[in-house]
Amino acid sequence: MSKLNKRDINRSFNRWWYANEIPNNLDYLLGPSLLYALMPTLRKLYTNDDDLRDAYFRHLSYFNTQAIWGGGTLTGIMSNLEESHSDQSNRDLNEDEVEVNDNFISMTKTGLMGVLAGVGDAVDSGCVQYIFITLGLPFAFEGNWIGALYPWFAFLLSTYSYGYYFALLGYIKGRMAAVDLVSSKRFQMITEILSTLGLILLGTIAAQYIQINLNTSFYLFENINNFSINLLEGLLSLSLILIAHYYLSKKGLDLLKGMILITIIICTLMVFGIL
Amino acid sequence: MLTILEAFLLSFCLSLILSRGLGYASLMLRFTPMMMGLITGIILNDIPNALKISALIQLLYLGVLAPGGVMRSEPAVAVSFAIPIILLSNVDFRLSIMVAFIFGISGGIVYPYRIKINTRIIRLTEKYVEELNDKGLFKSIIVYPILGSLVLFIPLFFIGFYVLVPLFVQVLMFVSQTFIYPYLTIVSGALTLVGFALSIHVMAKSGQIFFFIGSFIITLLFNPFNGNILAYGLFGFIISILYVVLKDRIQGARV
Repeated sequence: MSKLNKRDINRSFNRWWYANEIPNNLDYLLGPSLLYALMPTLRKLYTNDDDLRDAYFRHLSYFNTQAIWGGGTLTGIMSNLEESHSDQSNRDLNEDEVEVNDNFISMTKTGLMGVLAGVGDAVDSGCVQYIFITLGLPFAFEGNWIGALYPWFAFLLSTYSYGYYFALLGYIKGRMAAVDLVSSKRFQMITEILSTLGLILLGTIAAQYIQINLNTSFYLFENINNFSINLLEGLLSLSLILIAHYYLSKKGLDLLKGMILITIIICTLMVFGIL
Repeated sequence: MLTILEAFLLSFCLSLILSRGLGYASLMLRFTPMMMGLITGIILNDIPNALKISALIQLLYLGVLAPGGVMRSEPAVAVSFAIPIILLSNVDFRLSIMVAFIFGISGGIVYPYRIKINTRIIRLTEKYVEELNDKGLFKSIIVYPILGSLVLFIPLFFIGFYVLVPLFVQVLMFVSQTFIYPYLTIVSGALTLVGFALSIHVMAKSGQIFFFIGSFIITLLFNPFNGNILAYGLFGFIISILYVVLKDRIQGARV
């Protein structure tokens, strides 16, 4: 019989959501946050002090993952496994039943945290966050406070909502929840839709807020109308973005390297009088 | 120059964000410059200009990710220092990008010290786990790390805002009188392009880069929705769904 309910999972997720990066440290990384998230659940499951202490230490161990896809799902999965562990310790195992012991729980946690973090970083930080930011940027460029407040609020609301869903999914489905998230076709399609939308919005923003101005007194541009100048500035910006993208894909994602490259190109164009 | 109250409020807000004391809500506050830009604007009583500067700095930090929570440059630190410096020196907003980058890197150097403090606090957590002391665990996991970060960051940032900001203002005001000023402004503005290059790298899988190029060229040539970003968002959403569903059908048919 199930000892935990929806409220327990919600409380664990809320505690994880809050603690998250606060106690980040070199020894256990986010381990203390997971322990903090699961403390009330573990208290409910283990009445014996020794079992409870073991469970506390089990979740104080090394843990690092993305907060929503990783943390949300794993708080649910860990609640599920701890419930099975506490249940199994009070009875004999059935013949076809897998023993959920200390090692099994720890291996599941360390095995899944990296995979889920990869998906979470790519979707939340790489797509969802920037979709909201690009939608807010035009307002911010006009000096409107909605441009800052809206992306923050929308990101919080959406990530919290599906993070809570992942926690429930993790509790209900156990380890299979991670398989659902990482390899199900539906989630892969959603991820692809988000990244495509993000790229379309980025292209729009890049074209609207070009920060490069051609030197209109340069002899080649003297007799060209404004529309053509704008077009040339846009095409020059696009070319520089693509050059920097190609360069960074070869040399690694490094803001400083990209800045040095763009500085060299811009200085060269200035020497020739084009900018 | 900044008053003591302004310098304190800025350093307190920035330290609270870096302490992550607002939970997951502080992720976007730390990783993107927009919200800290708004807070800085409120404290300096110039929201419109603070946001215009934040938006420019945001372009530089598009695509900057922090796998494992580690960043070489801290956008929140960058924007909170760049805004007062640019506003007080009265120079072209584009220069904020260069100023932001310098302070962002400095923030990236300072941030890991918080983790070192937490590593000391964790010994207490181990002790409280042994004792099964839940109140102690709350203190060692939540309260002490936040306090530790505030004690570390507030004095440091306060000195930065109160002492370094006026120095940078003097330097920028001097530079603005020299011949390099227009060149510096052009280079600084162009640096926003790096943010776009990084974000494409983060988002685009094989073939998807053409959506960026396509939307850039369509916007540049026709500006179909008169710059209305919400209309672009809706249009982009429909295109994205059509692309993914059609691609899936075609791949399914091949199999």
